[in-house]
Amino acid sequence: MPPPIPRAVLRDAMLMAGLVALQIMLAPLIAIGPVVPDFVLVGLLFVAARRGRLTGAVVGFCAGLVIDLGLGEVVGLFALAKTITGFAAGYLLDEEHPGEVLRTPRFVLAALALGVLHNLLSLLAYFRTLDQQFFSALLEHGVGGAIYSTVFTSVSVLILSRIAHRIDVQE
Amino acid sequence: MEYGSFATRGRLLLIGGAFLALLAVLGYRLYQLQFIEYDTFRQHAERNSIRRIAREPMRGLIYDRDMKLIVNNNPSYTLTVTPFEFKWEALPVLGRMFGVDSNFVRYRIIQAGRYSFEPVKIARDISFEQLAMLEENKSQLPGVNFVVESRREYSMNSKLAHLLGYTKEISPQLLKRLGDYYQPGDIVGFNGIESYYENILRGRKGFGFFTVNARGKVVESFENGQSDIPAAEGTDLVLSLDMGLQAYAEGILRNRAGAIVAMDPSNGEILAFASSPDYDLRDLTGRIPVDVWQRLNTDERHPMYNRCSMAAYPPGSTFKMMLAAAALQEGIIDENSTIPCPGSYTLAGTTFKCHGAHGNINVVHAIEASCNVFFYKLIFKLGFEQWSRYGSMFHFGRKTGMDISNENPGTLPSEAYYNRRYAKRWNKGYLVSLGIGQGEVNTTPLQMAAYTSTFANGGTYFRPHAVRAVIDRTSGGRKEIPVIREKLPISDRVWRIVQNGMYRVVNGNGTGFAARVDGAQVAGKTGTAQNPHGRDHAWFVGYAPFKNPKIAVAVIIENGGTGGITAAPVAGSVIRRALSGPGSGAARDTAAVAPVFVEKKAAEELPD
Amino acid sequence: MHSLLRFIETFKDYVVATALSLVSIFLIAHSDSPQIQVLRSLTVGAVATLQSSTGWVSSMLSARNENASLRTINMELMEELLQLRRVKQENAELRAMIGFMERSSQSLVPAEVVGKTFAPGTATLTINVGEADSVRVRMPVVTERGLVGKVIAVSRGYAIVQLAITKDFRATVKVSRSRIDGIIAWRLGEKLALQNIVKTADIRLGDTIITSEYSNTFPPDIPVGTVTFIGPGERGVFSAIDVQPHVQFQKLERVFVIRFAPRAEQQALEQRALPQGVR
Repeated sequence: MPPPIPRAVLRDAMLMAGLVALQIMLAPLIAIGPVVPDFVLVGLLFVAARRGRLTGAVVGFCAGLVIDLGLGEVVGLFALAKTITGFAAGYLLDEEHPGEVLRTPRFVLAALALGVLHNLLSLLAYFRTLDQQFFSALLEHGVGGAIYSTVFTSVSVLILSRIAHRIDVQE
Repeated sequence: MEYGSFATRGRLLLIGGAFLALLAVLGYRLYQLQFIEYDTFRQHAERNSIRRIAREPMRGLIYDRDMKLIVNNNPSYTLTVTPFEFKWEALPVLGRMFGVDSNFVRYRIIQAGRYSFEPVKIARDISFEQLAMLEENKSQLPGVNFVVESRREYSMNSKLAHLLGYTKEISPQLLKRLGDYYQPGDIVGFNGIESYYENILRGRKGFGFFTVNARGKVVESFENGQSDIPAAEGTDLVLSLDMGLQAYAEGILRNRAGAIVAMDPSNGEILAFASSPDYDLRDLTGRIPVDVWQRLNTDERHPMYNRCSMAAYPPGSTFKMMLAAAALQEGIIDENSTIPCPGSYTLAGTTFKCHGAHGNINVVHAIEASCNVFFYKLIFKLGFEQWSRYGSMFHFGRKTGMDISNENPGTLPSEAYYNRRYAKRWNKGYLVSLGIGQGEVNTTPLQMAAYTSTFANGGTYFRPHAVRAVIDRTSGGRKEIPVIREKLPISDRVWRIVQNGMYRVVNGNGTGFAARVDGAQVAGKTGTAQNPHGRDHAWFVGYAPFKNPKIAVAVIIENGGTGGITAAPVAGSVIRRALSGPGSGAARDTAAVAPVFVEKKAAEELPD
Repeated sequence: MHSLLRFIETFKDYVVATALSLVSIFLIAHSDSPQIQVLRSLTVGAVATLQSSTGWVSSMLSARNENASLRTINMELMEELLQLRRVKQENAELRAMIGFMERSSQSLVPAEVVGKTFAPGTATLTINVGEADSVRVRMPVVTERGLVGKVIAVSRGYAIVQLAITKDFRATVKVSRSRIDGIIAWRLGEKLALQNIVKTADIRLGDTIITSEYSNTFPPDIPVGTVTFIGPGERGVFSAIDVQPHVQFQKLERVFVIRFAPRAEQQALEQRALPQGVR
């Protein structure tokens, strides 16, 4: 795991801030019915894969908290879900050569799984019960939302693999 | 590096596996909810992860004969606090919103344990407005919640306490006796119709499935409606009661002790069932305060005592019609036979008095004048055995079988009864009293009303009943309750003779003139029940109109003295009200729904 | 002590992740606390500015449809107005008779929706009015069709609205025809459930549900929805009733905040919940 370089931290922070902004501005416009993609989650996976689980957790917490405060019904909901997801992403995708994994199809699979995990966590924290409301939301948002987000992950992975050498140079 | 290192793959497998397992569990539970049938579910319910919780049906409603709702169910909300989730800062808010004392709440929480998940009740019967306040502010009042209890709500202008009975939480003894269906805390009917129809009023509980966490806390419903067993709603009852008449009868008895039972002589429907003193059913809804319960049970006027069907009094002279009918039917006398009345009757040195010397008197006039000597002599002519046999035909000494749980059979002495009771050391003198309805014969006002109805309609004994139909809440279908009747083996000629006597009691020179009603011909009989403890009780039984009767009534006024003076006017005004009052009498819809009659023989085989 | 530090050093990833999770759970438990409301008042503005920058796109997309639907609404409202005038006349006479004071009409703050999300946990609207327009937390939000929700956070120029179709939302309502009181809560999707209605209550399919005088958050007589299903409920006495809201939440573009002054008990509650700065 590379030691955190201030510039890299700054870059990640900016990336995340940009994605939060994108989430707030763009996501409602491209919603399919009630299902929205989670750009912040996609970014979180990239950051966690490259910087590890500690960074994943911290970045996840911060990004989640911003969403909670700016849009949420209950403050802390997405902070919790994204902290755990960030940590899990870092744990799962911890590689000797982080740059590589970002370009593999395996990353897409992991992103789908982590997307479902994230939505599952947030729904559990929201409903706190396993009733009909929970299950219907799980189908719609838990699975639907994760698939939608994964589409954007795949696009990102495709773009990244085209410009892979630039990342390698920067690494 | 196309594929991850060994270590990476291991991790991936681990997390992926755990994650899939989690999804699998959720998927399975969803599947369980949607597809697995009841039996399988029941087995799961026995495990502790899913708990089976009863779904309460709604107790059946009660309507009067005009389909006006008189007994409804209403929710009562009780405020609860779950200590674990509760925040102390909310204490003053609770105080302001619900008027509960902060110290009390604090005490209840500490008593239950600060970290308990079990909600504690802190205020009963909060208003809907307070409930609304709680619901709209729930997010700011964590741990504050409410539970709902259903209670009876009465909306009639009479009390009707003794006929309806009340509902109450099941007692441990009753729970043991009634067996499997009930659980502690269940509400059951006590007394009256609530108790008699308990099995259909209560409906049948259904079951819902709930998840329970490790600490035994219910984590809300775990169902989607299909896997549950829905509760079968309680069945509604339609009373035969004439509510206007009931209120009138209760009013007339106010400040007196006694009872009025009014029946429709053409079908046995109870029209009024008033027992005084009575109590207010509204005092007995929900949790009954101890002081109210004690006051009702220690009141020496016994307001909880149902004088209509539980109190048995000597019938006095009202019993003479039975003796007359028996003697006529057995051919001991006929319409023209006379028996001399010199004013008294002496048997083995004891003299029994009459109201006067009636001379040679026939049966019609003996009834009209209530001549004691005639009946002293007649019972000897008829014989004890026949007297008892005919008495039993009218359901004396046994229950009428009315649809009310508490009924006293009364006493109808017979040779066997006296042999048992007095070890054969009884003599004929005992019979003399029985001849005029005194001594050991005891009857309830309910029995007397059914007896009078039989004379009114000329020979058919109808089983008295207060519920005329039931309504299935789910289907909305109405089913008439079969009317059980029995044609007594007494000829029409006999009935006409006795009816004639009863007519003359009121309209001739008899003792019942006070029961006369303008515009309707009343027939009846007065009676005085000897009371060794105080003033005699006053009876009047009667019916009207004389031709095609619409109402038969039995009235007893405790310590009222002579029947003709206290009971007859009461019966008269009840009859007047029944025949002319709003929404009653003539307007009554006896024919609106064709009654289903079942002859007694067949009725014996009917399941109860 | 040293070993504790060593432990933390060794497992710092786990320790930090656990600590952050715990902080989140703490925040969830205190989501309505005054401190967090202050924090929100800062964030809401920034987030809303971003939302409003693209909000016009979706407005454009729906503007065409809206025009047509507005014309219909206009007609409906006209009709309603006529009816209301008549009713008001009647009402005035009645009120005078029983010594009722005419309630002062509620003042409405028109607002535009600059952002909305529908995922559980974020089923909210962001609207372009805030503290500067005297919009406060808990104020009701409506459209001409009916109840939308209530304000749960405000900044200077923006506010967040909790929709009626969220888990914790409750409103005290009544059946407009028979005046029976109940409580509305979210059921599923865009459906509401009407609770606490006894089975014997006079309620029919198609009945209109409006807010009740008993509510301490909403002024009375705001339309809420229409009854679409009535069945037996879990508890013995109650029915299970579904209500289709009048408002189509997905299509909301313009709303009104009602400057509704809650009653005394309510204010007491607010005093506890909100610090001076936010109120």
